Amino acid sequence: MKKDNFGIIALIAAIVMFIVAIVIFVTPLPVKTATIVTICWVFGPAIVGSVVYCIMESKGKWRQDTDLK
Amino acid sequence: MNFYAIVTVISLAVYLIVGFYSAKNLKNVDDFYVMGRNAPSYLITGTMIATNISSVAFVGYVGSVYSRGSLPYLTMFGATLTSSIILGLYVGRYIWRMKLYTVPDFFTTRYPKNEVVKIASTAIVLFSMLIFLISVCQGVNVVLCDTFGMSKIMAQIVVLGIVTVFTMAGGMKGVVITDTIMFCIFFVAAMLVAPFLVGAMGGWPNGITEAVKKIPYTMNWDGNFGHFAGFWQYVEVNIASIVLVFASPQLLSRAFIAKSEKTFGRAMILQTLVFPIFIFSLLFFFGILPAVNPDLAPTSAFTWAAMNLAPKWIGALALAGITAAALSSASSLFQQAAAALSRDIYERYVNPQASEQKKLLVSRLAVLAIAILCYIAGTTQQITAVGMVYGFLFATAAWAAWFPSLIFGVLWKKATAKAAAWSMSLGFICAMIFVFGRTNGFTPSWLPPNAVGLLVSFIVYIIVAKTSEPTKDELEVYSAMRKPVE
Repeated sequence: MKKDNFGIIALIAAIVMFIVAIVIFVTPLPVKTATIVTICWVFGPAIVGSVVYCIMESKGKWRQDTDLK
Repeated sequence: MNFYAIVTVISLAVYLIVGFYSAKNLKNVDDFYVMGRNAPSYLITGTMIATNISSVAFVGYVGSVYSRGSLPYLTMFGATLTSSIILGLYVGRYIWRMKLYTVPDFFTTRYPKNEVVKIASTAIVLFSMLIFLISVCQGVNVVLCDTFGMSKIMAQIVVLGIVTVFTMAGGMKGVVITDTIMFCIFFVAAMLVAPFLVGAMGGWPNGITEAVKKIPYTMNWDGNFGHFAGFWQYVEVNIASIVLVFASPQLLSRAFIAKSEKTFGRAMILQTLVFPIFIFSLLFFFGILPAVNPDLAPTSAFTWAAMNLAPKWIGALALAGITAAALSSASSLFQQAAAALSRDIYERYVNPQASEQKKLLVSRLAVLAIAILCYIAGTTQQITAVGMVYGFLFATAAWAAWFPSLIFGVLWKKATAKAAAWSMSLGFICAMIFVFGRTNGFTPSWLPPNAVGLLVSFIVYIIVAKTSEPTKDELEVYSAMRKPVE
């Protein structure tokens, strides 16, 4: 199966978004901890998911056939 | 009709036209139920987010954030997105391989020859979809009545009429494509309103810094709930989000329509990229809005901001976005309820030998039947009140009851139909006791019914599965589903 770069692109986008979210939502706040944790919880799955997708793509984990055999 | 209403009416016309157009190539029940199993990633992402976000987000969550703080409500989307990743990259791959049409199909296939599981799953999907649909339709009515001055009857007719037409015409394809358009509208609406909120506070970053100092609780982890109630708030909303993604028919059915299991995986990754931007833009700054205007009725916070802080055309788009969010959820619930009637009841019990054309006709008539039921329920005072109070609680509690049967069915070789039957039945009964108990005051209000249903159904499943053996048929289905990729 042809491998794609979707995972890498998604990972880069996820990291950029995380940084931008920290800058926009956290930097103006006087108390930051709770918001940082929330941002990690909400924006984190994109980073983790992209990494897992990349690993699955490199190991050829996607099934191609369409019927239960 | 004012400018805001005109823009919303135009958007409703667009959905109708697109819904009709999507019916052009619809030939058979595969197309009607699961879009021919041909959906690309971006459409699955669009429909998942649109189905998840209803008018509850724009009216209810924004209002709650306004009055109680942002973080207790933002947190639930972490659970939504974590569950989406697990669904897309792991559990959903096995569900996709089963080539299902409806969620009860999963239970019938995975737990063959067990009537209790078959009947329980069909009953859960039909009643949870109907009751949830009634409460979502009521939410749309509130928006149309309050914002545009429509009468309740007219609002019902408009909502049900539009959703019925494009669902009858296009089936799953009509729903998915219109959902994606609606998602684009409310995504843009949320992104465009946010800068004007920040401007009203005095700009970024100093305006936000000063505004937060006036409302100290707004960025606490527990808002103004207090630690104990705040903790249970986190438990309830995160469990509801997990159950919604893994076990709600309207979201889980999006695994059936993907072109491939990789397509579905990509769609979930796309969701994790897009959803956080949308939800933070929508909810975060409304927690600080009381510093600008502390006297708003919470449920009108978003409409007030759209109509008073943003330029007219952005405000109009924002109001169209609320209607879009409501309609997108309603259409998905409609489609699943109709599928339960036609596939799980008519095809399975009334006429198993029905021709393809007959099945398609019955599927369309089922949509009409659901619309009529919703209209009657929505205009009956007592049912409307009950639906609004119980709707979401009942639905998530019902899905919590079948969640273990679903997850263990995919992941555990020792899963048995007997365990599923007992787990679904007892989990559902316990959850319902706590639904009625909470709304009538005889169980603790801080104890979430979905958590009780989930705990009971998990424990019962494990106990019964450990004391029973899977049949040869159940083992065969499991092996075929879990066959390693060569």
